[in-house]
Amino acid sequence: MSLDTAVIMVLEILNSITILVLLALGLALIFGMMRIVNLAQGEFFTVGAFTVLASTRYAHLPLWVGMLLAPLVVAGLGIAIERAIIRRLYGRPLDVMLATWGVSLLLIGLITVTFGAVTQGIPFALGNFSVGRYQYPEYRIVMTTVAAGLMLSVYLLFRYTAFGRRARATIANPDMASAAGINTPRMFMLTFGLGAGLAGAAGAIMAPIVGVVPTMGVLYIARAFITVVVGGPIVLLGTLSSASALGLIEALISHFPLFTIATAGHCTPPPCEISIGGSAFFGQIALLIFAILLLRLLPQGISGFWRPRP
Amino acid sequence: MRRGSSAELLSALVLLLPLLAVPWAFKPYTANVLAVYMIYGLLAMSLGLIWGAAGIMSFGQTAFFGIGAYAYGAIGLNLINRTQQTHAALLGGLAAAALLAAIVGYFMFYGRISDVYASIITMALTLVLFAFAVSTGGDEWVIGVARLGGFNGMFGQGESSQNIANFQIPPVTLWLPGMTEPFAFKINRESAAGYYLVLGVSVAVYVLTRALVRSRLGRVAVAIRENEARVASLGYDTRFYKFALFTIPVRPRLRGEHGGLRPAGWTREPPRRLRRRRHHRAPHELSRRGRSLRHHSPRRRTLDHLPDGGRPAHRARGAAARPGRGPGGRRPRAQGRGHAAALPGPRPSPPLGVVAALARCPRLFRPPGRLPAG
Repeated sequence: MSLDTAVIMVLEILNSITILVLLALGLALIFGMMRIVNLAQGEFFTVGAFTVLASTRYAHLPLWVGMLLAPLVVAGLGIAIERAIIRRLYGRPLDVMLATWGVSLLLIGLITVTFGAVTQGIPFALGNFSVGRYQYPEYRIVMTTVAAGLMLSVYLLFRYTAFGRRARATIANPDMASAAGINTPRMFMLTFGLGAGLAGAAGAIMAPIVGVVPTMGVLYIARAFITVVVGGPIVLLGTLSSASALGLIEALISHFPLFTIATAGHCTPPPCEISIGGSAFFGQIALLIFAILLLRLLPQGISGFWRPRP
Repeated sequence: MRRGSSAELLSALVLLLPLLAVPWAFKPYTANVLAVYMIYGLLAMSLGLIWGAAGIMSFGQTAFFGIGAYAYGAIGLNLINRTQQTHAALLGGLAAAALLAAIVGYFMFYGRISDVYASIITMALTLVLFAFAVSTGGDEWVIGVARLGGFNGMFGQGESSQNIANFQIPPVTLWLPGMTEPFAFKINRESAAGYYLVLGVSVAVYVLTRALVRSRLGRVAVAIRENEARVASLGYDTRFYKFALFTIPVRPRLRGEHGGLRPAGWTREPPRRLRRRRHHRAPHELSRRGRSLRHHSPRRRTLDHLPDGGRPAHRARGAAARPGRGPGGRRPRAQGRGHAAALPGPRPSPPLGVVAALARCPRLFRPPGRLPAG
């Protein structure tokens, strides 16, 4: 492997990790910390992407304005859903699952009715830079930077600010936090809103590189959940490390064909064979299989291994 | 118990009679539309068993449904012209679904993944299989003569492409010893044979599922739903019971069968069936069918075989006031309330995994008598 190929491969791995971090960050708060199985998370993502689409195409705002708007819109939506539905269902995980599933279907329906079921693209201005023989889009580097920034700021927010301390206290022991004078319903609402906003931000950031379509959330939600589940009990660092492990596997399998299987089809041109590995789809399969194997070995997730629960 | 059981049997028979008469009262077409709903009813029954009885919310039922259908289609298309029947395809559908469930179930339950995680893994499985089915549109995705067909679904690519029958997944066809010619359970405008097949399978599966819930396996499953820590501390390997219910006995048969039945009426095998969205029907169907699987598992009787009557730990908290309670009635188990937490049962500790076990090794070789620093 020549040097430029190696550099591109490293960039691809970084890109896979970036996407997983973006997808999983909001869910790490909502599912990892609050233990809410929010099946509408994928639709938060979709709404973020559609906010960018609407603000650039229909309101003719600059792209960055749309991207800043998206988290706010989705955080508002998340808070509304928390107030209307999830607030009443704390402590009933399966009911939350079904309720948010209904919300997810409702949102898909509403977006389809509003924007139509077609895939739309968002044009963006950044170009490519060259690595040896290859061209690589600059926007992916921007994405990685933004993802790292979001991750760091969420960590600092929960680690060092008064809001973060109150939120963690509320999640750890609502009764005690309430007795200590913390407005716990408000903290639940804000944490959920923050998680939703991060999903919206992820959708907005990824909107230019994926097709924007009402059902796009379905494509990402499984990977987001898997990343958080594999991350384990130390939510943010666990999510980062599981995103790194899973992103590495995904990128490697996506780019290197493992073997081929000849089949009896009638192909043109003739050699009729299925190549296992070497496409994004097999990357996803490998991610899932690897995650299941990892959970068999480490049922508490990666960070559960660092600090086993009593 | 006897009286309740015979009343239920009677009401089931009363419900069955109008269903038997549907093809006469209406057109066969109406019956065949109904058959599709009854197949979804089978799907709902499988969810009723795993969710209602064992308390594991599985999003994977549609995946097994779809795998059963694809396996039936692939085997059926390849063998129908040679053997004139689809026995192997039916069994293959069952086996494929059971095999997938066994693999996934092993990793989930023997890894002691919690219930919510199990739901998520089954959901991911369903979504990935859907993505897989959609991405198989190319010419190279062929099993024998069966093209997987991507989003449009499975069809045959017969060598002599003139014969249109080659292109369709064959209906369920039986050719048992003693029959002069094969009999196909077609679902079309003239014939209601397919409807009766679905009805018969529904009844059989209902009876089998009831028997299963009342068997030792089913009763332990319900006990696990109520309080896993307690059942484990009584010496039951809860992992095995969850695994078994998820995989072997009747459920894959349900899945496989409706998976296998479905193509009988449909020329193609659209992967939409694998899709997550299909799922929202199953819970609704479950409530529409009156949660029959749950009603007849009153906790008293269910736990009778456990020592000390198996008084449920949550009884005082209003759980007993809601027999046959809804899916949400389940609280996270091993919550530490009731006397389950007070039982100092020898709960097996969860496996650490190879890596963690290796990491622990140095501690095993530490010389005795020396306290670790700090």
